[in-house]
Amino acid sequence: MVYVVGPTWFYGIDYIFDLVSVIVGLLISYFSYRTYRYTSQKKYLYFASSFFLVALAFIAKVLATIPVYSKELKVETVGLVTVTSHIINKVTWINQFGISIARLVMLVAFLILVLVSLKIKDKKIILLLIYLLIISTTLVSASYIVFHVTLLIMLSILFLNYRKNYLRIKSLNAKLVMCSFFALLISQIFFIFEGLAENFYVIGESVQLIGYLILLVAIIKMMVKK
Amino acid sequence: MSARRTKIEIIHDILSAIQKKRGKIKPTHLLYKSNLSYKKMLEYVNELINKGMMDEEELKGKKMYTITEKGASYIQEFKKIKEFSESFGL
Repeated sequence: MVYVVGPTWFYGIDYIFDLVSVIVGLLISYFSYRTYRYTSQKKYLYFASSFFLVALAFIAKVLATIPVYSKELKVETVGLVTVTSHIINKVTWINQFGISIARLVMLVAFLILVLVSLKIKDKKIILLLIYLLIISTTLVSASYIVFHVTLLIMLSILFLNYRKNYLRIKSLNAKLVMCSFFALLISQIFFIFEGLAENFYVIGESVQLIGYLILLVAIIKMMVKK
Repeated sequence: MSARRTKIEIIHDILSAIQKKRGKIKPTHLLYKSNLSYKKMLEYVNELINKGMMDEEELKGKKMYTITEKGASYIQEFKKIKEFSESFGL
């Protein structure tokens, strides 16, 4: 089974969307790491790691789908049954492995973000959450749905946290962060229902892009502040 | 009552106090300006010296704290760091 979702016309366009997410992830990671270097506070290091992992997950997703998207071309041009089937087997393996890694890395990234944002320091709770995360993503057959539902739950927690933060400090950047996480959680709802209509994947990707673009605006505003 | 200062704010206050005194300050003066207990101030001073943001030197037999280039760049970056930290509720 090959993990590719969405309509064929969208193949490749989502790379551009994912590239934006990679840039945002790396920018936030860099900024947070720089803050860690100044303050030595571990929370900034964990925060940097979580966004670095987000970027890494998107890179893994892109790498995992490249062979699948190019596979169709190879089937058409080569046209030899034996060669084609060999390519498909290899492609399927790369795709499945890559997507599984991308999902796990993404969930770990957002779990770190939840732990840092909610200031959870109890190691027993952290271990329990890691255990639940691993079994829910590796030992279930409906891994696509479970992945997006898990992400939806974590993003909802983060959104509520950033909403509370915005209501406390009332700054434009805090508002942008809150809105970006709202967009990210809405995108997961579309991904969950992708099975009903292929275009839901396109809408999900577009809403997710909006979320990361809002986050990009916020981080640029922070970086140019004088 | 004002809110409790965060670590990034305390570091800023310490470094700013030195910078306002033309880059050199006496320990007693820093203690007053930083608004910390003596023990806490020493903890911060040692950390900032280890990070290369501050230095300690003898001037006419008296101990003085000085700000380094890295410390001065922290003051410039402070607003960005504060905004980042506050926006994400860190």
